[in-house]
Amino acid sequence: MVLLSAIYASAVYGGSITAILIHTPGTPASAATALDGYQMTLRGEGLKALGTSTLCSVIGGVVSVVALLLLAPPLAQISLRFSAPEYFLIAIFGLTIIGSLSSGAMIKGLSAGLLGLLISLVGVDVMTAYPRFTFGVAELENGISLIPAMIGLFSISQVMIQAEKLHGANNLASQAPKLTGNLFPSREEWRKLRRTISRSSIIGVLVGALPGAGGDVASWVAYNEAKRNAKNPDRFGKGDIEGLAAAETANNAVTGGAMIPLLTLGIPGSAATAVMLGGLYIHGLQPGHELFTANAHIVYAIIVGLLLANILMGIVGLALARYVVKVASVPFAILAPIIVVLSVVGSYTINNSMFDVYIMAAFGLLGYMMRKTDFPTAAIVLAMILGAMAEIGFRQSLVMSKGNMLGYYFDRPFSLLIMGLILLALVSPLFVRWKRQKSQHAL
Amino acid sequence: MKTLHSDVLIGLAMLIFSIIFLTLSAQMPSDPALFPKLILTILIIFSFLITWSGVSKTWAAEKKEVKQTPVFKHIRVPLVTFIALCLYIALINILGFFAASSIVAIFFMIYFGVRSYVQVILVLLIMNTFIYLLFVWQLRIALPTGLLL
Repeated sequence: MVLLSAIYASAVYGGSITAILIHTPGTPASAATALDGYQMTLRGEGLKALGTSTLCSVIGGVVSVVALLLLAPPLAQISLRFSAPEYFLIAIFGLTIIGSLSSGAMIKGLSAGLLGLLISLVGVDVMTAYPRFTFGVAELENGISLIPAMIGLFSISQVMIQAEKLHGANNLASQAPKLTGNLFPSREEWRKLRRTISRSSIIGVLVGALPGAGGDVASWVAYNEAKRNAKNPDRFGKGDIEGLAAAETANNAVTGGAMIPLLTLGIPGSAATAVMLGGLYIHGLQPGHELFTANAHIVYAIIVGLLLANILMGIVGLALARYVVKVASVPFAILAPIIVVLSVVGSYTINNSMFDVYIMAAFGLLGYMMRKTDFPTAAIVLAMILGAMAEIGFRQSLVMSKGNMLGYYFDRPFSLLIMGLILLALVSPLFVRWKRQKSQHAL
Repeated sequence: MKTLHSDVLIGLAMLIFSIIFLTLSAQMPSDPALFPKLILTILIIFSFLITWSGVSKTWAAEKKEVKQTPVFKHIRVPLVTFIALCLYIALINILGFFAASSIVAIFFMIYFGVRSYVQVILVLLIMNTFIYLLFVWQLRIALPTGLLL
């Protein structure tokens, strides 16, 4: 889990390196960084842009972990009030968020979630021991393994997608400029940045804690706020260090913020946190109050690990960022066979079974077709993780309600609250899209 | 000939898939069939919505006289990649993991445009050594063996 959360935080920062040096955001969260970061590079201040980006990312990340440490334990108390109906609704809420984040139509995102739920039902039913959708295949009775499915959906489909774009790719290193000058901003510049960094840290944590709004939204909102409060807003987009600092602080402050609903209520607000939720369940950990009491030694290790990861990310980043950008120049022709072979090994080693390798290949094809037709693959993965919780919660609450399911759900305050959140999750993407467009138009 | 938007075909495929699985669910006892039936019913509604959205997009494109680009226009290379993956998995059972991995890695590198034999040999050496040291030597995992290794 520490590894996953460290990769999550570092990947957000890593995406900014290529955004600054070669104007290619590694993640959507680094798009705002590219505006001023690349202009600084063109002006011969690439090294300073990298240094500022690294320090701001560390500060944003550390502030968000402190917020997580302070806010998560009291919030986790809420989960004590949860019973079967709430767990069912939480699973549906998680799926609604991921589904509604679909870049295409929301219906496609929700359909992908339903397909994932259906896949999670394959195997022996836990309540009646009846084999469902196994077609007589003994290996399917234990259900479809999550990890081979994830490897197929993410890695193999990515190889197939990249295979389509063979032309004109992989020449990024030749565009990377030589880096000279100071690594750190001057004392005067730091003084100017203090307020921007503080404001952007808070924005990042708040946006991160809001399910559905990720690093991209946070960085654009923080960038816009920095521009609104700047003495010379005209300099934004032309290599202003304040714009760079705002975007970089906010996108890393999202990481700790996004862990708050994940660890306390089991609500993943993005694809990355959905994968982390899978990590928790694989280790038999249930998000909520128990995670902060019976398993406190694990959850606090994860949080402290994330804090250390943010600090180490800064040290490694300052030392290696200028060289790391060359990774972008490794040709796909060399990466592809390595990814394929490692995907096969990774799938096989879960259960020492070739059946898992077949599953991986099948999900690879499914993932490719889904991505080509705008269905989000993350929704399937999340549904496979939450499927059992959703079904058990649904069937148990059906028994508990004694036939009056609707009345039973509407009588429970937390059920009502989560149903409200589900409605909000369906409506909020429209608002977020509007807000993002407004921010971009304002620049 | 009119080009249908891909959503029409996707929606119809989803509909057929959902109906088949709903029929399978109907043959199960009522308790384990309850949740699948609920999911498949919603999926059928969504497949109608996706089909309808595809039909609307087709009409809109016809009105504007815009020619629609097929989603899977450049499918040849991804398809070859997937077939190579399937053959690789089959070869693992026959030749063994390391031999099959080396063959598929050479195929992919040459197919995707690596022309330097030194690069090919270096990648093979590094990849196989890394996998052997980590999985076989360190983690003691018995990777599948076959006629070769």
